[in-house]
Amino acid sequence: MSAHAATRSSPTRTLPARPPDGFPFAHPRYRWYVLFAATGLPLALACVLLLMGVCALSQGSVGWARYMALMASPPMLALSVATFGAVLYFAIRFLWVGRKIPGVRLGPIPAVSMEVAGVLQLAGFVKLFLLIVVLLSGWLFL
Amino acid sequence: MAETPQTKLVKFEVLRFRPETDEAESWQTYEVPCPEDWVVLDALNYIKDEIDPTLSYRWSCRMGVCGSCGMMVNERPKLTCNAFVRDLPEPIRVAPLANFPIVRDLVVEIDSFMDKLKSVKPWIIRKIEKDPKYGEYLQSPEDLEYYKQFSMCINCTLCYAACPVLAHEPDFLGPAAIALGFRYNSDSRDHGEAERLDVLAGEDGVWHCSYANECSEVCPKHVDPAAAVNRVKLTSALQMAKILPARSTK
Repeated sequence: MSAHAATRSSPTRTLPARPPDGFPFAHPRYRWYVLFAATGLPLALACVLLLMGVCALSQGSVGWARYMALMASPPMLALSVATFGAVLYFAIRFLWVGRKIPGVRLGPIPAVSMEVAGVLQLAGFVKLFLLIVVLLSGWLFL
Repeated sequence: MAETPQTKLVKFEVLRFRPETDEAESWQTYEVPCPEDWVVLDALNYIKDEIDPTLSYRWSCRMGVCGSCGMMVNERPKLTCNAFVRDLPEPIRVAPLANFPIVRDLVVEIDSFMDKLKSVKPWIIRKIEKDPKYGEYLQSPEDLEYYKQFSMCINCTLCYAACPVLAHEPDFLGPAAIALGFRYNSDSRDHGEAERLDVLAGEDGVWHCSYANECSEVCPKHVDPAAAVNRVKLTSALQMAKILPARSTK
């Protein structure tokens, strides 16, 4: 049976369902959730800018120089900072919820306890973060 | 209705809707003399017995087991038999559970929830049923422990009232049904994982969940439906990629 069948009509006159009180902005818990969902916006814009960069590459050195000048402008720098913040917040929240996943059994692999998995995930995240920082530092300063 | 040394007069605002007369819901205020040890359900029972017999709501066990008395208490989904009046700021606002159509006063229609629950086939599915004369299906304590947490659900639907995804997508399967589906998928005696995954990871399934975690925050039995949702996501992703086979009756 499809879950679509769930919305069957009732013979009783009912009032429509009310949304949770305070959704989406009146409570901090919902504000954080909405912020999490909103991280998609700067990420989408960043993707568009990266595509523009690919197009600029195909237009030779003049096109690339124009693109670099655009990326160095204050609005683009602000967008980059916002994108970085969004990625960081998304990753932190993803790991926060993701810590619940490792209790699952995957075929013959025994389930890892949440505590061990949490430490492993955090270690992986820190490692990845440091790797990106090192790569960016190398690109910026060497 | 006077306050005594043993009681405190507490103001309640209750959402009312009488389908035969009301076009819309409205708040009604009651003052209830509450002893120190009363829960919100005791106050509702007092209102019905002593002040206004027309008030409608569901309740049964009064001990957090049946899951009937779930309501929005001060804007949070709670079992009213579990919510002490002394712990709540006044006025205490009691409303029907969010995300469900209102039938009358504090009573909501849960038909959609029951259909969703049924759609995940919450029963043991076997390749071949053996004759009972050959005895029961054995299970180790470790196998029981693996899914036990998810079998504690009492279907109170508080998680549905808290879920922001359901507020926008009423067809979303929802936390409790997914947790129950995962409970049976995790049962070592079951072979129905592939059948359930069609629904769990289907059009209205787990991929609509966006990590709000509200379901686990409000669950009175600490089932942690968000954990079940995310585990189903992982297993269904691996099964879609053909990395992990699903247990099947075929």
